[in-house]
Amino acid sequence: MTFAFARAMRYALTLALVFGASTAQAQAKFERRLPLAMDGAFRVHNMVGSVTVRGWARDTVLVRAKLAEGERVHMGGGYKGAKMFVESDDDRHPQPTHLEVWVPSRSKLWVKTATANITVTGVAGGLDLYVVSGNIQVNGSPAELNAEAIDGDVRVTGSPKWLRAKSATGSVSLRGGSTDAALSTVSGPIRIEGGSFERTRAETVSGNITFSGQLDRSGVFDFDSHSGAVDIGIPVKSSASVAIISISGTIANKLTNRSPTAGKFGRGSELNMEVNAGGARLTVRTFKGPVTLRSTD
Amino acid sequence: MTHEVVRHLLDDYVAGDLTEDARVPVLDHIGVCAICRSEVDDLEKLAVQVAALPRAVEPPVQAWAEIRSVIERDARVERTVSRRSSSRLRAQPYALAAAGLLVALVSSGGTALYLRERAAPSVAVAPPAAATADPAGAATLAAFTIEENNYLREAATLADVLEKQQGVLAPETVAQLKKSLRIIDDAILEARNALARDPGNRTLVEMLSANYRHKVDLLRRTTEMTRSS
Repeated sequence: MTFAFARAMRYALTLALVFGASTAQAQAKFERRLPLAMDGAFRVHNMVGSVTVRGWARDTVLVRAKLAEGERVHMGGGYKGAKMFVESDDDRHPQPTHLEVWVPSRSKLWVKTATANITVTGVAGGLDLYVVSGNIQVNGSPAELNAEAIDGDVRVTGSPKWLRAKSATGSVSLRGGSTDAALSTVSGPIRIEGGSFERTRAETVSGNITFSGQLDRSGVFDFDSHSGAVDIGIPVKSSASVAIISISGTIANKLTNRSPTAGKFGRGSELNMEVNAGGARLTVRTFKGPVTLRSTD
Repeated sequence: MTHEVVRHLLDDYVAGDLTEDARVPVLDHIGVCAICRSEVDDLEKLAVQVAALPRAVEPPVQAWAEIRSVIERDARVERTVSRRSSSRLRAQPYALAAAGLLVALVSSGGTALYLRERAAPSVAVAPPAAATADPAGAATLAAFTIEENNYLREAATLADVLEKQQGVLAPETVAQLKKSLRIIDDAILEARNALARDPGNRTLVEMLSANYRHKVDLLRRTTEMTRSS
């Protein structure tokens, strides 16, 4: 979302609020609709509870919530963009609010929470999802997906064209495919599996990395872990230039007959080889984590 | 207009980008809200500081000479530490960690000195054999030393910001965050130690950079998330 657009949203929200747009005062149930273009933008901010978003084939946003006393929902905006947030009388101790949101299926969605799980299903536009200590689950194939958690899990089931997913202690997983994916953790495991992948990058400090999928012939695949294990499973018929290095860890090649060589100074291992005359560029680096290359056939 | 709404509009208010319809209620609110008034003051000061920044900064003339002296001093210390303790340290992992820490501290301290534009050590240092024999290694380490210092400085700045915002985070999240930072710091120490033994190893440099990137990224993300949550 561009800065200009974000600013436009602020104006729209301000005007809506100035002129008495929706403000639900301490009510048990909240329901409101707003017109929104099929490719419009919608922002959601909810500190605690959950946010469940579904894409639908209508140019309308529908929000439903059950509100605790002292919690209010503010919504406003125009046809091209709108936003909403939950406000609490007690900012320090907000009550959980569980939001159910329906948005146009091609909309651009931005959701930010503190301690609330985010689930998004069937939104094909762009997704920006941020959570401190909750989980993020995305089902579907958005054009762009950026998902960031601090200590929660990020799970993606589908084939986002462009994906960036990060967590620290939580796990990050992609089950599906992507043309451009980058996944990162500190200690959580990273799992990538399913269909076909092109540019793919997985980075972790101490987490394990598991990849199981098809390498696009022109793809670039980079897997880095300092101390976690890296397990790469690809079909035997894959065409790839493989470069694996572990400073002090081991390398097990179960894909071909090629044996790893000892690294410099007699420590660690390296494995460089062309599989089926080369093609995709596959690079794995670890400091001390063991690396396994195997067949998925 | 509530405090929460106004808070989202303060930057536009300071930038003079609000329409009259929005500006008036924001102004009214600032008149009665000390928190928002303080934030407006901070934003205005920041805008003045940003406007006063130079468009570009030239590196000091003596930069390369000072970097070289720091590298040579680092290499000498690393060799000394390695020589004196190679046999003993194998049986003492804590001592090994301490040696790595020493190397990292000497290196960081040296680069910090450089950045503050202090004079290089007055004692002439003979080029170490390793550096002479492996100029590529020295160049790799030299380039990384600058990069490392940038990471250290950025991480320290973000850690300071986060320290102030820590009250916003749940205790469990703070514990997880500290755990993650410890994991990264351990990895940095381990890779830094290995780089001291093999200063020309570009793979190690890239791994070490990646670890620093993880640290800065985690601190930045946490800071950004807590700032407006």
